[in-house]
Amino acid sequence: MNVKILNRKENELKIEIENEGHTFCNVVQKALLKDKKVDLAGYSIPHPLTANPVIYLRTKNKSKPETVLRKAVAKVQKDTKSFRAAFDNALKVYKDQATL
Amino acid sequence: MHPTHWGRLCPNETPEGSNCGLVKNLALSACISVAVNVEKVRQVLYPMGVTPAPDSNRELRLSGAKIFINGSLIGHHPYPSELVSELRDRRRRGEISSEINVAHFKTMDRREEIYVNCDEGRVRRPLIIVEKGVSMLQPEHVEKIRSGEWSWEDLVKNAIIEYIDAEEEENIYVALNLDAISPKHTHVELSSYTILGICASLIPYPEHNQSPRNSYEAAMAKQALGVYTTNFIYRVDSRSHVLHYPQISIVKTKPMEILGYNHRPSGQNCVVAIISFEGYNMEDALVFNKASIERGLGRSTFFRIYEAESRQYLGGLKDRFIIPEAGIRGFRGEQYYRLLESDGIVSLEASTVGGDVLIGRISPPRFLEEYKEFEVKGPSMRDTSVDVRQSEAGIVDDIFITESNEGNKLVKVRVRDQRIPELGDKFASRHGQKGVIGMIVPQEDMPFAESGIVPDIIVNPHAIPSRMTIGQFLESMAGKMAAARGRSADGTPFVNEKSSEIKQTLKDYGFSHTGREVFYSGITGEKFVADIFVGIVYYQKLHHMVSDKVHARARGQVQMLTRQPTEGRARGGGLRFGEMERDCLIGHGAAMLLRDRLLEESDKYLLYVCENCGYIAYFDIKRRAYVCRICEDDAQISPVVISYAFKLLLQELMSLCVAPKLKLTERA
Repeated sequence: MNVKILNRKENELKIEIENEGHTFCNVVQKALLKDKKVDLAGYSIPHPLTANPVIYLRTKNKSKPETVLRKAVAKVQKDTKSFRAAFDNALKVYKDQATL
Repeated sequence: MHPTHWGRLCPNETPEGSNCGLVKNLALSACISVAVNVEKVRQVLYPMGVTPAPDSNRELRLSGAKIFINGSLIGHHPYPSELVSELRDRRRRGEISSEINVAHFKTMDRREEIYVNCDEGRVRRPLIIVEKGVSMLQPEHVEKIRSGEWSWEDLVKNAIIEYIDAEEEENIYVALNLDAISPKHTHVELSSYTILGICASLIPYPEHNQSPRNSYEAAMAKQALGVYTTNFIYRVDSRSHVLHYPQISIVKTKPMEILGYNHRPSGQNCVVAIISFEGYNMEDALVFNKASIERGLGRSTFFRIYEAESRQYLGGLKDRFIIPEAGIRGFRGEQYYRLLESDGIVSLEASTVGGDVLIGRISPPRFLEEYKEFEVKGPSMRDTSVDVRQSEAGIVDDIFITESNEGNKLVKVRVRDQRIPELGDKFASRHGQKGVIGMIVPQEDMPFAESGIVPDIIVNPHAIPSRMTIGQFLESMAGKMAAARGRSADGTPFVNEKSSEIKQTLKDYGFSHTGREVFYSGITGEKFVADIFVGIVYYQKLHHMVSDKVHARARGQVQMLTRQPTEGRARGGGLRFGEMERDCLIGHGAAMLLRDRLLEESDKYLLYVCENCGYIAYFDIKRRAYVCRICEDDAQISPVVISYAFKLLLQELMSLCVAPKLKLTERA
């Protein structure tokens, strides 16, 4: 995943992510919004056919946007892993039931 | 519109624009009368008591009724009502031709007149005869038709149905349907929906649409792609379109089946949701499901014929089909002839782009006389090959080699191009709701229902309120109902499945009676606050596709006469910067831009004018200077920047013996 930093100010960070879509950005955005240290978090895809999505993040007071972003992404990874595990488990239970 | 149009001319099918109301279409049940011999009619009337005009005495002329055949007075009759009913009875019994129509007029101040019409060109329509308040068409007759024992003609012969023209319609009283028959009625309509013409009959629930919307659809139905005939593989139509996966609409109308439209339908049933989506379906644009397109929604193929004839000219010269050689006049470049086989014709299934030569041909020069002056060798051939149109591409589909009327070899090449729906292609429902694809969205981003249903097309709700096209809503709900119960829905005008029935059936199958369903966003996964209206609507692909229209030009060919850029996409033309556009630039005060548009980028020309006499000066090769013929030595030649079109105007005036003089002043 190629990430390009478009803008970096005090508490603001704007990055462009290549070859991703709503699948990644929406999940990250929702995770960011849950963090209390986040003031603004959003993303936009200028045009689905020609442009890459741009994520914009603004943090409150003393927090650094990079840290907050890393934390959010880590949370998403954790959630995805646990969901994956739960899904695989449920599928196994279902398959075992079916063979009985 | 005029009341006589009822049942004769379609109220909705007429073109928009300059031809509106002038070009009309016949209604479904209408038929045109064929002439009957006037003499025969006269021979029938005279024995019935009509006194020929020269013979009628003064009393008869004053008190009796005037009898006309085809508008000409032929005589008088003392008892007009009896004459009229006797004539009509004879017609019903078959004793006189059924093409004859009789009209009886009684006016307050004038005497009675009877018009017997038997000429050709009258628009007539069939009506069921009603006698004493009872329709002549009974169930046993319907059964005979159904079994095939009786045909339509039998109904006319047995006086169940008769054809009425506009004039006779003045004397009858038509009931709209069987329930409305009273003792006073003389006829009853076959079916109300036959007042529409062919195209308007394809619209489901049209009585719920604003009338102009039906007119638009009547025009667009003619632009829809389908399978126009099943033998398109063998045909050499200069341009043709074929839809890959046509479907019969699940919301049908009765006339569709009768006309045979369902044998060659021109559209597909699509799951259509009405939501604003990401702003890409504004201003009538449509959002399409990428996966649906990949599964074949809206796919079509375009065929084009390129032809070449090997003509013969005077003096034994003739064209030849051959791969032209490098030195020949008009040779395009080796790569353009790469697809040709030894006979000079392109190979089958070759992939071609604009400019590639399909048929290599060389021809002798056009004007032989010129060459006798210059060349000693004799006329040299030039390349007149047929190539693929600049903006098009395709695969060679088939080649037809035959002989023309004059006995020359004729070659026709058909090139096919698959057109997968892309942004800019035009689609329309059957309710005048046309639109262009604004965005193709991957299926995963589409709003989805709990059942997993995802729309094929997303229409913007703004397209509805001002257009008042409720027929689309009803079609959508009827389509949903039809899909749920496994049986087509009937959307025939005036006799369709009512909205109350649709709502009840939807409820029976577990859908909401509003036609809306709970949808979740494909992007965030959250439930939409509002339930979304979704159903199945028949959408047509119209033959306006963006690849036929996209065009660009920076610099290119100019016309010979005006030296202005050529016109038309096929000639690589420029877009006209017209009078109104000129007004806009004037309004902005953008003088330099105007000059750029109208001179630099168009026909700027440097004209040499003699300041002394004001006429155009010409360049003398021998003296290597511009001279003025009229004022030999007094001449003062100066160049002026003008448009070539202006120089053309000056010369056209000169050709009319008007002398346009230019007064020049020094540039400030």
